[in-house]
Amino acid sequence: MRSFTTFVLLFGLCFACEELDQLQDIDDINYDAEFAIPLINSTLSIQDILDDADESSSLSIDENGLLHLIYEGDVLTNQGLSVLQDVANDLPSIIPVLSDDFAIPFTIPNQIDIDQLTFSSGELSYAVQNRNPEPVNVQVTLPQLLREDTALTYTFSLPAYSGSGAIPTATNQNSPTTLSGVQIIPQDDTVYVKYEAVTPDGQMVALSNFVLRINNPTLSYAQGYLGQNEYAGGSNRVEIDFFDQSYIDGTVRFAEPTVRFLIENSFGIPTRAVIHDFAVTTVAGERLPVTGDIIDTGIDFPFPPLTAVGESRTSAFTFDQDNSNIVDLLSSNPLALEYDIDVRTHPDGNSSEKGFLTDESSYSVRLEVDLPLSGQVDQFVLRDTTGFDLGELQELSEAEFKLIADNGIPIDADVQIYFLDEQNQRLDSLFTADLQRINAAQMNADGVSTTTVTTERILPYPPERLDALRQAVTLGLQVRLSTASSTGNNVQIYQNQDITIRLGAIIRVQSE
Amino acid sequence: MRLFLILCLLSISLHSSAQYDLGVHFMRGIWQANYTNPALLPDQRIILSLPGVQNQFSFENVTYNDLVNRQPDGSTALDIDGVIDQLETDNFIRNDLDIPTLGLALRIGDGGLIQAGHRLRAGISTNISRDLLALMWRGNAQFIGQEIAIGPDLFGQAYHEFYAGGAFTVGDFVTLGGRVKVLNGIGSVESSRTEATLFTSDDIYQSTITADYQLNTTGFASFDENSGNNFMLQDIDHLFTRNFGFGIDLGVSANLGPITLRASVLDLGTITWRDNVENQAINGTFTYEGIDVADQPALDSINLDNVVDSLDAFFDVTTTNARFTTSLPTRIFLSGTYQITQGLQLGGLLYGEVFRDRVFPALAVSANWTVSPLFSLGGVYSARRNSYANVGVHTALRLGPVQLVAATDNLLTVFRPDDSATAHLRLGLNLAFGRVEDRTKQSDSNREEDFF
Repeated sequence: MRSFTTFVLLFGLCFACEELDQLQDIDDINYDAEFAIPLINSTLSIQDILDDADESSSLSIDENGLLHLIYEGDVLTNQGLSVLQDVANDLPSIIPVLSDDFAIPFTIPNQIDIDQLTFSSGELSYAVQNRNPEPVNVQVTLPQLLREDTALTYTFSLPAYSGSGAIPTATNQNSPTTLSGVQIIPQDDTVYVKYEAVTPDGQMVALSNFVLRINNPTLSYAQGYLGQNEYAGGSNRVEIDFFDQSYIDGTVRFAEPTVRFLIENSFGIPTRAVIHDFAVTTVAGERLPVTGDIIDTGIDFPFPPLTAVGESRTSAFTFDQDNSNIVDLLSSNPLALEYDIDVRTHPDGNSSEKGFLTDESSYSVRLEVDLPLSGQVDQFVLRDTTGFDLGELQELSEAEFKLIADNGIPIDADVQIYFLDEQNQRLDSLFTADLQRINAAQMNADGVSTTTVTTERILPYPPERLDALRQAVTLGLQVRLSTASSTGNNVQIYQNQDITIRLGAIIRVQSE
Repeated sequence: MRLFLILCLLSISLHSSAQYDLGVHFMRGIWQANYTNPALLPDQRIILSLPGVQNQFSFENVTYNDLVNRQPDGSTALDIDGVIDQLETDNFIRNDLDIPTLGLALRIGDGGLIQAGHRLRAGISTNISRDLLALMWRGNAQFIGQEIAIGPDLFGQAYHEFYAGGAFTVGDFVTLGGRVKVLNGIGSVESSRTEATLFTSDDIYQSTITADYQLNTTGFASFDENSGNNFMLQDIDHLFTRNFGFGIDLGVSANLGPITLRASVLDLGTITWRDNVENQAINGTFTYEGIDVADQPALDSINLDNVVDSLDAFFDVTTTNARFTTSLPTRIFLSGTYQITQGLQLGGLLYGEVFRDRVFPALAVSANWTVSPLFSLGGVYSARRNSYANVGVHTALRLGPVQLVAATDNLLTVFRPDDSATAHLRLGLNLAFGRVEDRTKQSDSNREEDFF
């Protein structure tokens, strides 16, 4: 019955559609359709454009809303811990105690003059023998090694020596004293070791083979003159991609570019950035050295005094048109800033300049290139490419594009789109004319845009040129920017400026 | 007899014609006329209706020759552009199928009748607007700056009809009839909301679709999102379902000597669909303005298929499973006949059908000639909206208790099928016993019964 029902339903349909079946025998199906399609509708702020064009930079906005392109270089850093480790490594590991009031000169190589040290770890052990025929009670005191302001002391007994066999020995090497938190405060650059060995009848005797051993010391604090050391920062480079991959021709002149060294320092000693090399490379392949007095003198870091242990000090040094030739160099289409900067402690070698270091002290030096988007553009040409696939629209026989641009940016843009083959050879271009102008926004005398300007273009793409679209695998976009309309004034690029690009197409699809 | 066979064969091969069973309505004493008015009584006391078929197909405003052009070289070409130019705002494509499987009618007394039976009925239609077809075929560029309606109306349902009814004569002249029908739905597809417009901006051709569209399906069709939002015909798993409905037919006939006046209302009723229901709805305003490259920083390649994908993403179809109710297409017959001679009768008919919230009127005139007790022949001219050249024929052959009925409302389909926008055929087979003489005659003479 189910089959019957299905049959009669199908019968009814077939009954009505028998003539429709004849449609299968139709030889030609001629269609000619035109579809109007919105392709692109984007509002691009200047921030969007720059973010896409230059991934290595960041944008900042000053108090007036003016945009700044900021490129940052690698940071020079050093930790106080590594400097303190150098000092700790210079401490003697085995100290022989030759008398019951033994003075050890506390001198460290590299002219380091320590007023105070604090251990963060390490171990102190002793070993001593009694060659006397009487047993002794011993007390060892280290008056310059203090734990919570109390000198380190050891008390132990040694049996009498019979004259033969093993010599009675005392040692704590199996449970050495931890040095964490122990301070060394030398007395007149000397550390003393004192002991008393008393026989049962009250006689003071001498001990034999007395040694102290310091194992694996690390320091958390050092105070004094810590020596003149130079720490290499190495060669570094700040890429300015703005002029790199997309740049073809033309110039951009930034009104007031700067390079800043931003310093943060908690080393409690005089420290200086020593500039060995500082130059700008340009798209023309030139390498132009930055000049100025500061290149020779270096940049001194601010540092906290002894009364501000744990604090840091910051400062910034700016290369500008007043102290260097940086403005001229950055106006020459720079590709990168190259620099080789080391850091020197106690740069003047004045041992009377006492300071401090903690294991948490550090310094960092950050280099920042600031290109304020204020200036002029002269025939600045950029090019970029992207993949392209006509997709299911291969059958199109004619096309007409409609481009509408609402430009709120005070820069004229001449645009062309090229269709490229797999070898990046030009097959055709979207516009038959050289480039199509998108007019700059209207601006006031200060170069600030005041009114958005709309440009509309109808771009027919006739059938005889469609093969280029079908074969294209890459779109090449060429944009030529110019501030010619500003009549010589600097234009200002602000955060709220944008351009809206709307592109639609009427495509005609016909049967073959 | 030869004419009858020729008519039958041509009707079958060429789908025949006739609008809405208009010719059958005028067939005297034939049981199939009762389908158009339950107050019309057959000439026999016992009628056993055997399986038959009635089908009507129509494509408003379009014929096959409009659709297909023959080229000078003999080849054929599809001419959708020509079709579009001929279309009106609304254009229904419709097919209705009626298969009376078995029926029994018994005359009670002189003016009474009881009947019961089963019919399998199915209908499917779509209303395609001219703008929608033009949009699909010629693209949207022709509508830049305009808003057009694009929501197609779709309706189809198949159901079993189990009926029982009767008729009785009031006084000497007026006969009242009616049928009560229990309906069991097999499957349905219905666009319950059809609001959908497309606006193409003249800026850069941004497209805005405003839609309040819902399609309800059950049984034999569903909307398959996974296959690209296409309809999928489903197997009919159950002959009988929980999709029940009810309907009634009402009729009256007044016999005023040589003049008879008739009125009927058919298929007043609804079916509520509960089994395997899916409601697919699109609601809201969707605007496609183009790709926003600022929102796609990773867009490293321009593929125009992306545009198509974005357009597809417009449509967020929501699916529910709420039962729904469909109405039966209700038909109204208002007619009159005048008996010129014993064998010749003229008739006129005003017809109307309420379907998809629209009224489809038709006007018909008919002449029927009872050639002999064995054979009758009739013709009908009908006019309907945008179609004024419909001439149909209907005939009945009586071979003892066997009645064969054939009718078409559009004979032109037989001779020039490619120029016809409609096709109609009814074929019927009855076994009829116990002839009842005409009441007017009976009043004038002794009743004379002839079993055949």
